Amino acid sequence: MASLTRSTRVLVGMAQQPLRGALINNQIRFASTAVATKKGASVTSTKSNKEDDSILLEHKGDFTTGVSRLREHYRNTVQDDLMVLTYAHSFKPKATIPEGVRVELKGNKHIKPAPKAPSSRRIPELVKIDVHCMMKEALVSKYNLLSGFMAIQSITGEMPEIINSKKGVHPWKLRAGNPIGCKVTLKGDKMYQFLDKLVEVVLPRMKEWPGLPESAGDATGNIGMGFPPSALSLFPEIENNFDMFPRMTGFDVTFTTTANTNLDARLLLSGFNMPFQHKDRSAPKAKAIAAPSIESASA
Amino acid sequence: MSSVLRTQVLRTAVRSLATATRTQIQATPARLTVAARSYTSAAPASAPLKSNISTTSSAVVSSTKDLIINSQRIVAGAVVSRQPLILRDLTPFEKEYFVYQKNLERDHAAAFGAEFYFKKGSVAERRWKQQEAEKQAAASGASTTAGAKGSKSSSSKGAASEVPDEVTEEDRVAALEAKIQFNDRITDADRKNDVRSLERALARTLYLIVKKPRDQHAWQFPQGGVRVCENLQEATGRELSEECGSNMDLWFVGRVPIGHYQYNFPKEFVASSSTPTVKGAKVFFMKAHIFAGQVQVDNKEIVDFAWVTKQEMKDYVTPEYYEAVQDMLSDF
Repeated sequence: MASLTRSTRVLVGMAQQPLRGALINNQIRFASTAVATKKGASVTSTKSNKEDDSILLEHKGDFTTGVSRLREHYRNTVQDDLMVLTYAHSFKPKATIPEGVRVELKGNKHIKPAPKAPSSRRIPELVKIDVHCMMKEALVSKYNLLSGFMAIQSITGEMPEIINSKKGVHPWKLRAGNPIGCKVTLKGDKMYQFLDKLVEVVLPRMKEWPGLPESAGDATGNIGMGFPPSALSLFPEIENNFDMFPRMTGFDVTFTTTANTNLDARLLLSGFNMPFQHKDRSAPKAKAIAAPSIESASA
Repeated sequence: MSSVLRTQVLRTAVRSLATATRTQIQATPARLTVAARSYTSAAPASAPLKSNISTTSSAVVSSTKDLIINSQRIVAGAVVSRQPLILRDLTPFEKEYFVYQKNLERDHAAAFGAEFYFKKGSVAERRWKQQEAEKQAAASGASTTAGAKGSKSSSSKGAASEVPDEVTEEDRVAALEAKIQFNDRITDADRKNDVRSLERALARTLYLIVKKPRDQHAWQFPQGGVRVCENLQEATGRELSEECGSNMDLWFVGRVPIGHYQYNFPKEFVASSSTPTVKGAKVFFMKAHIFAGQVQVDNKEIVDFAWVTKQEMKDYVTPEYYEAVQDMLSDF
């Protein structure tokens, strides 16, 4: 413990804080395993619940403390506009894949069941946002992961879940089961808050970032984007305490939507002011970009 | 003749469908930044109407002939809306509920690692401690759940009594600076009931209706006849610039109409008109959002205009017209 820097020691303390309870002393004693694994967290809370009722436990439920700005915007404006923009007046379902069956495609990607006819009940919607970071430095010492852990916790307001490696890779000195990254899944109001912050504060300050490419999307209506370590310091929560994070880490953000196509997903995100790259439209290419749902309907 | 025109219209519609989505993605509306921009800031009068209208190749053939299909004149109408700028008004129950949830959240929140976020003895730490003490005091005073957290509130009282001694002049200045001034949710335009202002009813969606210089059916959405070789979006954009001036920054939502309305001309009108074969008109409504600018009244095509909510529109337009258009409009 003495060899750790001050901020790392504080970080270890911070990671333990939500694990208040009867076992907290054990946690500190076994400081070498202090990285809060998911398993450890659940054990701690259930045990402490039995042992001492007076200890305040983590409440996992979401509290609705106000009206979410982007949710209202979605309800008032985006939903209506998406309906107009993506509606196909004549819809011919393609050869259908039965519901629930997943067919494997090239490139290790799966496709969803064939989309249903557009309707007012099936307007694309944002389901969740995953924020994930992987730190190579955690191979050397798992304490290095704490910096990323705290950073993700700070920017999302949720406690991350530690990701352990599934397989060992000898050349990288990675052993199976080592903590290697962490992730947070945001839903509901917190999701909209994070998106709001991203779009209003972080993305406009990313220098020379041209916006999401026109081809963004995984073909099933989800969009992912990666951020460099420098982007982390643009979050207001980190900006003010930049010195406290020993290492900055890059991270990935994945937007999961109910849209069936990339196009619909991009439309949805652009409704939340997510910047997309502009290409010069004056010289149209020989091959036009596919506009799947609508073009197939009009053809 | 009419079948040729019909295929032409269909082709235009198909083309617009195919290209609409492609262009729309680029034309991302800067919707959320609207609040920061002033509607009254006038664009230069000479500038053309700003919008995302893209002309089709067929529009190269300029024609001033009206498009008539099945003895119905084809008319393009514009549903220009101003989106809500602030969050909706909360019901008393919602307000209470949110306060309750806020207290619950405070009680269940993980402990804040002040030693991580603030260096010991720093101004920031002192300021935070002071804020926290104030919040605690307010919460214990207001919430009924304070009894359950007796130990916490008593400790906060202790902190509150200590803190004032530490407050320096520097802190006081910072606190003054940090104090956020909220604007009123009710604007001057609301108080004066100025329906021409775009800064009224901030929490609601507003729609533009214009008054034509006539006695009956005077109030309606801006509209005008579609010409041959023109698509609906082009026709709407042209009509809007003719009727309402070019000082508006608009974004058209797609190139397909969001609704239609059919009516027959009065018999005297048909008899006296130059084209007696035309019996009525079919109006296709195109949706657009306004981001900046304002309508300019020229006293020729229109004599007045108003930005009204769906419910207020009932007082202006005829019942039949309202019946026909109400489903296109937002209740919020």
